[in-house]
Amino acid sequence: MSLVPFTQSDALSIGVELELQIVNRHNYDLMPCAPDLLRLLQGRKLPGLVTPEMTESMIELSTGICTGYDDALAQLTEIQGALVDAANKLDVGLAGGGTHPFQHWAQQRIFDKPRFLQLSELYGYLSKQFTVFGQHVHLGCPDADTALYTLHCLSRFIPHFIALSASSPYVQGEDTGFHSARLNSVFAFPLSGRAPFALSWEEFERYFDKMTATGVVKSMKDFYWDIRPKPEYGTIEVRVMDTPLTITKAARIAALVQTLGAYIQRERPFAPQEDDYLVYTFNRFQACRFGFDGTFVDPATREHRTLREDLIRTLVKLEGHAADCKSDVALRELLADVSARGNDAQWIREVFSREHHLPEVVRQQAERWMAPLAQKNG
Amino acid sequence: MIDSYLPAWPLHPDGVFWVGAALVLATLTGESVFRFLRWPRLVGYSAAGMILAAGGAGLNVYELQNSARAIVDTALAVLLFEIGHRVNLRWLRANPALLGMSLFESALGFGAVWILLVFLGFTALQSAIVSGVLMATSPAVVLRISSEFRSNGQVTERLLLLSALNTFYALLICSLLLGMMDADGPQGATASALHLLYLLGGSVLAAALLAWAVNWVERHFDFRDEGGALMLVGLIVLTLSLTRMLNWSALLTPLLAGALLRWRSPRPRLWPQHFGTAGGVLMVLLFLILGLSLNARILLAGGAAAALVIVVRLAAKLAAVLALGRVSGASWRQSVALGLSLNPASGVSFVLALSFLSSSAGAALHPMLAVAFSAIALLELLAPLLTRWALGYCADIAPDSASRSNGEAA
Repeated sequence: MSLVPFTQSDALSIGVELELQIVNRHNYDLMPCAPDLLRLLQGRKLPGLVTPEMTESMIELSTGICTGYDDALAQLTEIQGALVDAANKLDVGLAGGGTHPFQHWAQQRIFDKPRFLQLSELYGYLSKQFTVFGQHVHLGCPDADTALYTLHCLSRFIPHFIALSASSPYVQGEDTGFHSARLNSVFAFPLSGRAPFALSWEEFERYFDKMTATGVVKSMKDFYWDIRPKPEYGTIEVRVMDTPLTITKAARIAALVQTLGAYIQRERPFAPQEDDYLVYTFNRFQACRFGFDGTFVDPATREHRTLREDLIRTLVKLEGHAADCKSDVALRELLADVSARGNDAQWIREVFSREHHLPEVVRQQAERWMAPLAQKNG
Repeated sequence: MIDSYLPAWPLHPDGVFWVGAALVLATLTGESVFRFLRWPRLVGYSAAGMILAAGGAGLNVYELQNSARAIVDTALAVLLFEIGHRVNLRWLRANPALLGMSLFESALGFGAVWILLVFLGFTALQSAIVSGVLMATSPAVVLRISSEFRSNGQVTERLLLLSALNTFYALLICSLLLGMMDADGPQGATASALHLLYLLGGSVLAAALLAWAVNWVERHFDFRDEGGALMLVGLIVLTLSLTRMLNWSALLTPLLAGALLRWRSPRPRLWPQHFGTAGGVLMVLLFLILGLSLNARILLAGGAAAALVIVVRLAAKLAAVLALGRVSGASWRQSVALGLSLNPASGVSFVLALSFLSSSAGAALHPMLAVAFSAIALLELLAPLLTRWALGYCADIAPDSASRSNGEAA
C-alpha cells in the first residue's frame, strides 16, 4: 500500500482526541464497559465521535474540526455531557489521567474488533500494558511540505507538551517518580519515537515506501511517533500528551498547539535540522521524569535551562499570535499552571498524600472529569 | 500400667473430628468441581453436605442445632453487610428504570409463585410465605460467584444490586407476614403492629450504630489487611448479638448498615474477599451446613410443587428483567443473562423459612415449608450453575478467568 496524498485542510484548524478511563464505582478499578457506553450513545447526535479503543475499559472521544480554543471547548463540553449521562446510567466513572494508578494489565480485556485482536496477538502483553490514556491534537496544515516543516519545528516543544499534560505518576499501584510514566509504555513499541527527518513530502514518501518494502509496516497507523503526519486529514498529529484531568485543560493544550503552529507557519522562526534531535530523547526524558523542573537543552543554542523557564519564555513570546488565535485566555491559564499551580501529576500526588488510598484518588479524578464546566477550576 | 495412658479401644472421635472431616471433604469437593468442571466451589461445599447427610450425618432442619444456626447467622451477617455496601443509591436515582426493574422483578416473582401455590391448593397466607421466602436472590451465592470468577461488567453490578434489593424486600415482607400471623393469634393487631415497628426501628438504629462504628474504626485501621478486616468481622458479630438480644432483625441490620455506610461516604473501601480467612471459613461452613440440612430427603419432600415453583420463579424473574432491560441501558443478551442469574436462593431464604417454623403457627406450616425447603435445596445445587453460565454468556466472566484466579498457567 502506498502513502495516500496529503489532503488540504484549513490551516491551523484543530481537532482533539481524548482516551478516557472507565472505572467501576465500588473500588474504582478499570471496568470493561466501553461496549455499553457506545450502545447508549447510539443515535445521539454529537459534534464529534466516540469510538472504542484497544481494551474495553477505555473509550476515545474526538471532536470534529475546530476553529480554535472556544470551539474545541464547546465541542468537548457537548461530548462530555453525553458521555456523563451514559456513564451515570451505567454507574461507571469516567476519568482523565495518563495511567490508571493500580489496574493490573493482565486483567484487561481486548475489544472485539479485528484490528485490535490482531495487534494484541502481535504485541502480546505489550498491547495490554498499553492500557494508557493519551490526548492527541491534530493541527491543520495548508500543504504537505508545510506540514513536515511544522512537525520538525514542533518537535522541540514536545517536552513542553509532556510537562503541561503529565498526569500519570502511578503505575500498577506504585509511585514511579515520573510525572508522565505513560510514555514509558509507549517507548516499548518498536516503531515509537520521532519521525524521520524529511522536510519534503517526496522525501517522506520515499522513506515510507522503503519501510513498507521491508514488510515491517503497512500503513501510517503502524507508526507510533510522537508527532506524525495524517495525510488523509491534511494534519499533523501531536501524540505525546497524557489525557489531562479536565476537558478544559485538554482544550487549553490544544490551543497551545494551534498557537505554536501559527507562530511556526507565519514566522518560520527555525531552520530544522537532523542535529536538533541530538537532545530530543534527553529533553523528553527530563520532562517525563521531572515535569516543569526538568532540564531543557535548547536544540539550537545547546543552552541548558529548566523547562519551566523555557515554557514561560515561550508562552510570553506567543502573546501576539495568541491574540490572533483567540487563545490568549487559554495560554494565560497554562502560564499559571507552570508558574504556580503545577500540573495534574502533582495534583494526583497531592491527593494521594492526603488520602493514602489510590482508589479514592481515582474517585476524585473521575469526579473532576465528570463535573460540569462551571464547577471546574484549573 | 499400660492401660493408664493408652486409649480405650475402639476410639471415640469427638465433635471436633467430625467438623474437621466435614471441612476436608467440603473443600476437597469444592476444589474438585472448580478445577475439573469450572463450577463454583460452593456447589461442591453444598454437595459435600448432602453426601454426608446421605451417610447419616445430616442435620434436621426442623430442629437445627444452636451451634449450626449461629454459624449460619454469622456468615449471613458478614455477607449481607458486604452486599449492602454494593448498593449505590445514586445509581437508582440516575437510572430509575433499574429501581423499576427491581420492584417489578420481585413483585412478579412473588405474584407468580403465589398464584401457582394457591392454584395447588395452599391457603393465601401460606402461599405468601413461600413466595416471600423465595423472593430473595441469594447474596451469598452471587457474591461468591462474582468474586471467584472475577466477574466484571454491567450484569455483575446489576445482579449484586438486584440481589441486595430483593433481599431487602423479602426481609420486609416476611416480617410483615410474621406480624400478620401474630395478629391472628392471641397478641392482637395493635400489639403486632407495634412489634413490627419495634423490629424495624431497632434494626435501623442498630444499622446506623454499626455503620458509624465501622466509619470510626476505619480512620484508625486499614481494612485491606487481615487485622483490620478481622476487626470489621468483630463489629458485625457484636451487632449481630446485639440485635438477637433485643429481638431486632439479624438480617436487615447488616444489610442496612452496609448500604448506609456506602451512602454516607463515597470513599471506596477495599477489604479482602469476605473479610479474609475468617470470612472464608464461614462461607465454607455456611454452604456445608446448608447441604447438611437441605439434604436429599428434604429435597424430595417438596415433590413436584417445589419443581414447579422453581420454574415459575425463573420465568417470572426473566420476564420482568427482559421487559425493562433495554430501557435501563442493558443489551438483550445482558438482560437474558441478568434474568437467569437472579435464580440462586440459599442462606437468607433458608433462615427466613426457619423464622416461620419457630412462629406460633409453626407446626401447621410444615407441609408448606417442606415445599420451600425443597425448592431452596434444588436451587442450592442448580441455580449457581445457571448464574455462572449466564455471567459467561454476557462476557462478564472472561473465558479463561477461572484458571487464572486459581493461579494455574492457562
